Amino acid sequence: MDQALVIAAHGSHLNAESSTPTFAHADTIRATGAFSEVRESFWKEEPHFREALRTVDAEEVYLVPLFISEGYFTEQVIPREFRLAEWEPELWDSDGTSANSATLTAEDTGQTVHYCGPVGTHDSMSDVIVQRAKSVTGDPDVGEVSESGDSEARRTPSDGGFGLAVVGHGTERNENSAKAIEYHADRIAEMDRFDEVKALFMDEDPEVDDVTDFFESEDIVVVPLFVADGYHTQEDIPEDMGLCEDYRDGWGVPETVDGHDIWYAGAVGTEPLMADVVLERAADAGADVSAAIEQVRGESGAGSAAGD
Amino acid sequence: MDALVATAPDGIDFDGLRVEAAEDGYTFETPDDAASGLDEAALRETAAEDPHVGNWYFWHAVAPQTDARWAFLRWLEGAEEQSVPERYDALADGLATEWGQLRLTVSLDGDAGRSYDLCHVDDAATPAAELDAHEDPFDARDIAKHDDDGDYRPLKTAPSLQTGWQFPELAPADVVEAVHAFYPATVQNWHREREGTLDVDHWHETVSRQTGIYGVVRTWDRGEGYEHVNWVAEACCDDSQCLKRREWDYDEETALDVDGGDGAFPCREPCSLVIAAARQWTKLEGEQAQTYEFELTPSEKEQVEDIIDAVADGRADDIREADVYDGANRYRTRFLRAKLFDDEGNLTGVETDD
Repeated sequence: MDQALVIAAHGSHLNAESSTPTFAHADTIRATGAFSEVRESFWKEEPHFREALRTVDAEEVYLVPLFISEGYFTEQVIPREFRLAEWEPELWDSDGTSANSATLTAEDTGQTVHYCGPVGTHDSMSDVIVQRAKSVTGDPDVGEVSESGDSEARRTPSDGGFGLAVVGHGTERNENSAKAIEYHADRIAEMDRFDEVKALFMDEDPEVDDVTDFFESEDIVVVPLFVADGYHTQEDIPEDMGLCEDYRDGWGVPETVDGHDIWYAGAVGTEPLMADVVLERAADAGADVSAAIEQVRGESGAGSAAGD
Repeated sequence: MDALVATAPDGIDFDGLRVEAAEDGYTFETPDDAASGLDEAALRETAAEDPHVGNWYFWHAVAPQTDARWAFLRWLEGAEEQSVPERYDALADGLATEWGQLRLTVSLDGDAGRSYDLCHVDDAATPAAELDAHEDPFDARDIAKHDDDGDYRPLKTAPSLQTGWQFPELAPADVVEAVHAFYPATVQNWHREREGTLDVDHWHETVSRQTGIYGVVRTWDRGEGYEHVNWVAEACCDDSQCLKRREWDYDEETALDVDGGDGAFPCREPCSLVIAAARQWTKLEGEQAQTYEFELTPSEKEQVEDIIDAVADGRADDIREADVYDGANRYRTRFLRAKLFDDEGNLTGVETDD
């Protein structure tokens, strides 16, 4: 039976770039041929959540939210707008970062919808954050130089030790928002790759404004856990961290702030490996996509899946 | 031809072509031709030159088989209205149809194929060499993002599609994909409407399901009429703003007084832009009216009206710099501001009451 993938993303009425990562990841997955159809859908753009399923021919659909945390959008808005009437948050049986999937029927089209947890709380998102750090530093060994006996390796930017800051929006309306950030910061810390790993926030302590106060490492990679680049990642956070006075002036990568070199990565969602997380979500819900996962991880520089 | 022979035992009856297999041989019928008692070789020979056969094959083995896509492609070439020979004559020269601001031209690609050319309606007469040619239907997503001035288009069905591009040779499935990228879900909703199954969500139902920051819009419906929704529809849903034909009203029983437009494809519920704007209007319309006193000359009053009209009609940028005879001209407007605003930007020095 045909299986289709629908990606649900926020989109924007104001920012043309908001949908760009969604399109890019959909294209990557489409190219693997793992699904008979791959559709993008949006809350603020078209195709709207409300009308996405009727454009999909397959009777079986894997619905993956391209959102960072579990909460208002994943638990209320998306199920409501996709008309998954039997939905209730308990079906995910999640503690805020452990959603899996629920199989439901869409009221308007009758399709079987495997409603997956958001990409942001999947374990493989930790790999994307690390991959983002590699991309922004141009150093596949970033953070790992202390392990290396190779004198050449010590000439990489990693010489003085690397810290990693994972930055999130903060609580605002949803406590799970902070949980997702802390969850990945803890997981990456356990990898023993970076000298220091911290979770920082825009609107609560510890605040990203004081990023250099939280690190002893000379170099700090800052990865915002956002799906798309926009106001927060391209204006707010760079100015708050002191990378620039005015975002329009731009900033260096790295940019020196208070004696630290800040490697600011921009939204993690723009990293090509994000397509892998979308696939992992569908795979966890039962989609047959293992070959596609291998292909995407290979293409986006992450190597083979660690096998969990 | 092999497909025809293989399918004949089940019987074929499509677009004027009838083929059957009986004990005394095959029957082959078209509006212009009829033969029976044919053996397989004779069937093949009779069918070989007949466009009905290629037409049957295209619609059953080449075109996408999903109802909505199939019906849309049929509609593009007027397949329900014209006989196969008439249609094939028209397709030989290319048969053009409009869908919003899209111009779709169907041509034959052999007897059993179709090729679709897609461009902006305003580029119908533009030489192909002057248009950017695209092959990948997904390129349409990028084209649809910005208008000719480079401004972002948050509403895909706004009549502001950029010009200067062409998809000269799309396959049947790909042309539907490109149309979807330009005007998402319009083919499916158009088809549902034709089938009598369009699921319209009216204004009141739509605002009633809003939550979060949009939940406030529910409070705008006070059971005191629907004039506010007339204003919303006139502001946002007019054909000058959106090419969808509004099929939703205040509620199932209460039609709006504003025309829904002439678009080819229906709008089945207030869109996210309407809801986002309605959120702002819900807040603004919660204010009480105040009485202000301003002194304006008759021409100044008319000029204020001209400026509102020019902005509302998107005409402000088109007024020529030296056209001081237009009230919404920039110099005229700057003069009005210089004369009537105080240092705080208050009209004739009258402060805004909160």
